[in-house]
Amino acid sequence: MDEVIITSEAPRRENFFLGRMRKYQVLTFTLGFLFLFRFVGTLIFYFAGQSTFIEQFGLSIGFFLIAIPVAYLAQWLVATWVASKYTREKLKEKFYRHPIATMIFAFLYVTDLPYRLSESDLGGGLFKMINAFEIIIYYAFLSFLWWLLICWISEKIWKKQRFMWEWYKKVVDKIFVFLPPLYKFILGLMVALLIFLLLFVLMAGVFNYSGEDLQKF
Amino acid sequence: MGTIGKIIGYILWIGAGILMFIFWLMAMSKWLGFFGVILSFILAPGLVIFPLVFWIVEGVFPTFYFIVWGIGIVGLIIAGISSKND
Repeated sequence: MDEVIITSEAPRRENFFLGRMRKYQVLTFTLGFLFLFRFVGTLIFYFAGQSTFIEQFGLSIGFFLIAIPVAYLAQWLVATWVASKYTREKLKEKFYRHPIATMIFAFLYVTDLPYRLSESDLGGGLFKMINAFEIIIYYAFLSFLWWLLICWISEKIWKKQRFMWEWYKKVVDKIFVFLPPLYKFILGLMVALLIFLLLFVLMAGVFNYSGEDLQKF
Repeated sequence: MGTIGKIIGYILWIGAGILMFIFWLMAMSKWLGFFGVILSFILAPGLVIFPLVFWIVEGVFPTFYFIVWGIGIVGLIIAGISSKND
């Protein structure tokens, strides 16, 4: 006879933060990378005696140590909360339903982005690339939130879908196919370049590298 | 997450490989001129022999070559760990 064992233990509830980190890994990785870049980078420049935004905005180091982690944590919470509201298919349906709003927002985003980038102090070299990436991401997320608001208002006004073009649907499908791997590649490229730079500086320091071998060419 | 890890690892690995090849190409071009450039594409750099030759010929230890090599190995480890996580 088979023995049936009944246990009264309730399934363990996963920690809220760990659960979200596991579910939204790319989002977590993006914000984690940007946080570490901003936090550690600024601290290094600050203690090296170079000009940082802490002095530029007249802030204290104590304020910076608390405000930056809190700001990035809040951003992560907002981003994962918004992501939790939409599945991939649900979002795609929304894009299909609002072609006019999507096209207007895409146009505004593309035309306004260069101005947003030009008015920011991006620094130089690799830092310029990462700072530009951060602005592009934030601006895209803000535009996305505005787009969601417009879609919501539009749904309240027009109950039925008015426009539907086959070419538009194909473009949306293509974007949904190409954008995730493209984003992962760009993010990976930037992290790889930063790791390369950090490892090179670290090893050059350890081995007292002076660049003598390169001067031979 | 594994995908990003693999991208990071492979970029580091391939990037390091390209830099090591450029180092080899420049050394060969300096030593043998245009013939050296052609030869560098035909011959793969002997990973251990080439730095030794460079050290003997130029009298300077090729630290850059080894640093970049080390970074390439780190990239390979990252890619390996990420592949296991998939």
